[in-house]
Amino acid sequence: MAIFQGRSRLTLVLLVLVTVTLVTLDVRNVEPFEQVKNAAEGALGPVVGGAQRAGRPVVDAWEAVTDYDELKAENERLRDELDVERGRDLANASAAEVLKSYLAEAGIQYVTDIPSTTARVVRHLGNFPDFTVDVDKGSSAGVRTGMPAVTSAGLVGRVVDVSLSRSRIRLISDPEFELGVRLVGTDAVAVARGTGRDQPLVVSEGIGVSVPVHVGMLVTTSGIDRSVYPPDVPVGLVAEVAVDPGLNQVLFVQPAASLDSLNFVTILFYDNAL
Amino acid sequence: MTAETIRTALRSALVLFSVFVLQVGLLDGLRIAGRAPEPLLVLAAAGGLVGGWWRGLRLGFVAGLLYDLVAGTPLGLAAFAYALVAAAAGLLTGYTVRMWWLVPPFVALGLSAYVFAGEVVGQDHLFDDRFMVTLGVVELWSVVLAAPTLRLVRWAWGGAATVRAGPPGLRAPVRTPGP
Repeated sequence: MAIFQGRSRLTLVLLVLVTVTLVTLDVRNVEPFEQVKNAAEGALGPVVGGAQRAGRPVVDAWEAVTDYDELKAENERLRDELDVERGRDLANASAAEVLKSYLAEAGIQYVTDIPSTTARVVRHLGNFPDFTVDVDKGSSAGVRTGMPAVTSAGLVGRVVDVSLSRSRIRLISDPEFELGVRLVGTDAVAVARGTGRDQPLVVSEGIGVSVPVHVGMLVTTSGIDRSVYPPDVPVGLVAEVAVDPGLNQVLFVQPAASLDSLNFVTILFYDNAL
Repeated sequence: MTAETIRTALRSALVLFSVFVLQVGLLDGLRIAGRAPEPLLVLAAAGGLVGGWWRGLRLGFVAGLLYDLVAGTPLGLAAFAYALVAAAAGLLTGYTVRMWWLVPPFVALGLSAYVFAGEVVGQDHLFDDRFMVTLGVVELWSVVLAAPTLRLVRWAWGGAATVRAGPPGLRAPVRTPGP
């Protein structure tokens, strides 16, 4: 094509080289580059926060109009569910109740003695939500990369980026997320992996067929040496059990925390994470 | 550096900052089917159309960097797609009519380039079964935003823009200056 000549072609090649370099540096978390990026994010943080606060009334009005039917349907559905829940026996109530009872049975004191800070989840910008959430606490509040994030229900993820006033948490549903877990009531320790949004975690190795496993068992962090997560943090409940050809049990674990509707998370200042 | 150059740079920065604030503070919340407009991408396409490939590329690159910083995608991904689409808009429309309706196709190209580049660097979550919904909503909004964005860019670049006098909406077939 005649228009792709001389300088324009060279510039396009340079563009590709520069952006590939930037992406590579970012993905590989090269330290000086990360510091510059975090500083830029920190500088933009107040601008984004201020703009969102200023635009909130209009956005709320827009959502009230565009989501009215959806909200009405949701409201009716929730009322129906509430009626059903009221009629149920407490022992069969919610997953949270099951989780609590498991924690009590196993004698787990869930991270009560670890210093922490609570942060608000901020709205994800853009059309392509990934497996991270941003929160409104950063290095000024003592948050550091690697710290675990939890809710009262269980593990949410791990801090992967920190600027002065914001942090980014990678959720356990990320297919690249791995963590050591323990099957409560057994000695089995294995590795759990995320498999995507709205999907259960998968434990595919380390649980032999001799290990007694059943649906509803509690899975917690293993807390083995040098683990970045404290021990006994609830990860989820076993939702399904299968056996692979290698005679390992494959567990599908439903996360204890509601990853799709996070409003606040607690970031644990856990020593091993630093 | 002349006073005109400085004035143009300041106006460009002001337009870029305004569109950025508008996106993060307001337009990102005005979602249809859960999808938001992409005004910075519209700005990149408009920059290419008004200022030619070289000016557009620079504007698109910076707009994309801003987007990367707030959207959480690897830094450089949107910068690449936005700069590419701005350069394409500047290069491929050098001999044709420059009207607002040229913006949406380039926005579609930019969004597709962004998702494709993301897939190449391992950002698998960018392409999902709702991509066509995203594209539709972004296109719809780009129709709304195209004319005012073109006007903004023309204001910013004024006489320095490559759009020359001629029949209404018609640009003389001149090549834009290189770097």
